[in-house]
Amino acid sequence: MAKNILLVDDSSTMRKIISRSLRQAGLDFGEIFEAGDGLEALEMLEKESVDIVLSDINMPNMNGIEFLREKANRDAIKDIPVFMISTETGEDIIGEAKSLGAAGALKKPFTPDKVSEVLGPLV
Amino acid sequence: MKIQEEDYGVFKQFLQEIYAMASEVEPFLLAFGEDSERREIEEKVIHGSYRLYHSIKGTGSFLHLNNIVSLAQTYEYMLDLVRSERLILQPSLTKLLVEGVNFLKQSVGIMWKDKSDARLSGETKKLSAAVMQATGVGHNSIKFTPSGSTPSPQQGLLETFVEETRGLLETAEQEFVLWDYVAIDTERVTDLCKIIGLLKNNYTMFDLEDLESICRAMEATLLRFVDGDFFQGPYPEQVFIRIIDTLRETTDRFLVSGEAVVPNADKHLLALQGLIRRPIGELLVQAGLVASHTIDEALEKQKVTESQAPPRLGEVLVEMGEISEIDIHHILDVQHQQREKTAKLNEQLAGEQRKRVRGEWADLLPAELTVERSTINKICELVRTLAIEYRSGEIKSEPLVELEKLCRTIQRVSANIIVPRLKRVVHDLAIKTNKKVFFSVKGAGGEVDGDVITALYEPLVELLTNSIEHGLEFASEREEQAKKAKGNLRLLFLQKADELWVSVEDDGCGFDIGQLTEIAARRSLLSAEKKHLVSNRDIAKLVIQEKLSTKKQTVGSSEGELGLEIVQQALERLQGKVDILSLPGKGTRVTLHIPHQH
Repeated sequence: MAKNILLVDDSSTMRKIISRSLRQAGLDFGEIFEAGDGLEALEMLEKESVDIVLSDINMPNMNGIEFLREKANRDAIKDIPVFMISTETGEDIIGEAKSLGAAGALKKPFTPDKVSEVLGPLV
Repeated sequence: MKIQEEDYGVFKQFLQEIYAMASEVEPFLLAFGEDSERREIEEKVIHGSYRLYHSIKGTGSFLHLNNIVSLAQTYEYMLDLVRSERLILQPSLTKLLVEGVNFLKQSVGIMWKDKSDARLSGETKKLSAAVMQATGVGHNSIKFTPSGSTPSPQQGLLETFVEETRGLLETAEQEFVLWDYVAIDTERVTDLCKIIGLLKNNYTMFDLEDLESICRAMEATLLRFVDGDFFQGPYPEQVFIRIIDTLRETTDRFLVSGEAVVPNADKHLLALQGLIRRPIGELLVQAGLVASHTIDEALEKQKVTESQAPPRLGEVLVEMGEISEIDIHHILDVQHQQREKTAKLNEQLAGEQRKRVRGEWADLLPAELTVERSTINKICELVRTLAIEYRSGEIKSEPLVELEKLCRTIQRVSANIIVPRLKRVVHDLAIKTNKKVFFSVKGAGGEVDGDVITALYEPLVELLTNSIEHGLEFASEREEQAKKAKGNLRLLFLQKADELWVSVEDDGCGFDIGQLTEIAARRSLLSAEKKHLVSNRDIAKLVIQEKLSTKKQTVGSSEGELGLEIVQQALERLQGKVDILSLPGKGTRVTLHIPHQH
């Protein structure tokens, strides 16, 4: 079954660009949901059936790291894989995200190929 | 580069977003400028500005807006320093933040009108330079702190730069390595151009001229391809990869010594220029033999000819009476000489590179490890418990077991960390041996013990090398056997309950079982009567265990038994086993079974 994706980024432009990359990657996605920060993302996860989350790190209200931490505490959603999307090249922030359960990371700007390389195994 | 029409929607939204974010932070900036004691405003200034530049950097890079992305990078560096309290937000910096916001708000209109940020180039450079100056990293003022002492803000900035640059180099390298496997289309190359553009911006920021001009030349060459020109020579990506190696070495040296002169920079630039096949029309115009509009006319004429094989451009020009045949021959000579010159140059550069190919990689695992504080606390607690138990003379096994388990968890890494390097090894080797190879990796996403993956790297290089050198046939041989010209080489990771399985699989010629059986019998590894009963699998096992080999097929690298030794040693260390399946004419699969450490 096609997987549903949740995009979490405070920039709606960025969300548009990411969802276009997803389509160009030629992977079979179901619905693409969007959220503007970690709080919205948590709400969305509780409400909709989401299979994979792609999340930015730097966001207002609740950033990507806090989002991961909070998500890990909620049994119903804690196993949904989250991939971090970020310009942070600092390995430490990605490392921190991974130690909090992030499944992987995509660095901006990424190509559709990179998307299918990272997400391909899950879709 | 202009924004494509299909991106206008996204572009407009991006500009609106910049404008909104800039307007949002502006009042706080102005208030803070008047009263720099107000901490709660400072917070908003730093946060709002960071978000603004961070967004520009992220989204702008997709839209190829190199000038403002470069500016945003500079501001982001500065704000990073402020956020990590290595730099104080002084009035001079606040002023620069105000200038940045004003500049962006004005630029939005210009960018929308031009559908590009090219016109902002001068202003962004000036502003970037001012920011760098204010953070203490103006031209030639980078200070190097001896290791061990507290890093200065400049050193921190420098490290960020090197780290980011290394990441970009690796991305670009991987893309070039892929060229051998995928059709290169303009979209891929355009994306790659963006990466090279970011790289160039990084070098510009530190005023590293050699590196910057090489990036610019790479960009120019790639853009010519996007515009419809062709690469000449069989492996254009080799030239790029070689240059990436050079950039990497120079960047690393820069971090240590502050010096960034690229050896043979001029030769690399020539090699890049030589990559594009210069059309005869261009050469004729350059030689002053015909005018460029004449070439256009001739090209039109060439198109309308109805015959199946259109006449060559030179023939059309001669027919038009524009030039003589002698001119054409002369130009063809020039074209030929250029090709020869480029080929020679590449050979020379490749020779110099070959000297340093192997063993050049730095450590496989990153030097620093990020661990959750709670994990560290837990470890400390367990160690304390053990110490108390030891003193009281009764040690229980539970804390020890738990400690061991925790240690193992923090040392786990993705098997993916060795994949880029293996891809590169395969790519280089395929070219060296003149074989066509399609290399794929499956299942490397899972986590494995850091020391297991490190220990597996060398043996995997040996097994892949063996498959390419001895397993896979040359393209012509494969076609004769009705196989695809490109040999398949696969690396598979499979997590089993108790073991990690790693297989290297090729669809090459397989072992010569008949000959191997004979040799095994001769060396008394098989009794004469048993030799007709053994399976291919048994024989293949003897190859590893007894270092059985024919001249044609060995397991291990071209160094023969040495390569085999490496596989053996790794297996002993990891208490693993090997399983080989080889079918003559069909291929070989070597599987390493590595038990999970309990």
